[in-house]
Amino acid sequence: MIWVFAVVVVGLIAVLAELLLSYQKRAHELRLLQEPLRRRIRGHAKAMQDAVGGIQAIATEQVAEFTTQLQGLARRADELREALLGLEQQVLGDAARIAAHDDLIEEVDPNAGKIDAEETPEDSVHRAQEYLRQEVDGHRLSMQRDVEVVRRTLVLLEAKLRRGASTTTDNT
Amino acid sequence: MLEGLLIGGVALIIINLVVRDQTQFRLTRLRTELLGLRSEERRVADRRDEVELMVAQIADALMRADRRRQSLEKGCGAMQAHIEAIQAMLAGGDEG
Repeated sequence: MIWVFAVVVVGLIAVLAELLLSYQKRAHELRLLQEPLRRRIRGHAKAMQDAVGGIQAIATEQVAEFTTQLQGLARRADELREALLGLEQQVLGDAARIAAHDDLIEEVDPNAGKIDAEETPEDSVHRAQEYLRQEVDGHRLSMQRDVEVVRRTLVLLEAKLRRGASTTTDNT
Repeated sequence: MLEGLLIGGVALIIINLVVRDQTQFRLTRLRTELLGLRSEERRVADRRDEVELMVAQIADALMRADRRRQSLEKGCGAMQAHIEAIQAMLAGGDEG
């Protein structure tokens, strides 16, 4: 009888040892599976930090620079517009004078104004106005839009990083 | 002796059950942690993609803005030339 109990006790000790060993092995396997995932998460975080750190510094600096340049160029464009407006008034005044004069001499030479096919000052002013609208105002607006896109995307990026950092901290 | 073995056997059975329960609990926690890490890794990878896209968008917009600045400078220069040409034309007209 004692032998039976002794064998049972030894068997139970063996089962206990086997249990501990198998559980340890399984736990080790699970920890091993976790390690590559942790490494990949660290890799993603580092890559994000590198990408964002580089662009943030450059973009902040460039946005400030572009804003200053844009202000200068906008001032210059306004000066050009003023100058063009002055010219337009001058040309229209001249044209009105010439028209009045033409009315007086029309009876003598009705085709006098039509012979000269060269560009008149009015045409030049209109062309300059068109150019100002397309090449100066158009580019200025586009540049403003691009700078605004950079500024807004930077804000979004910072918000995303902040949110990401807080959720990662919560999870770890 | 027999009583000792009996008590030892019962104690071992209890210990076995406790060890099994505790270790199963630990293993379940490790498994949950692993699943959590998997989903976290997926989430971080997605966020990385989004961040990289945003970085590319910023770089692109910066490049575009620089090109526009150059065009704007050129446009202002050309506009200045236009105005000077018109002024010269008007001055020539006045003299004529």
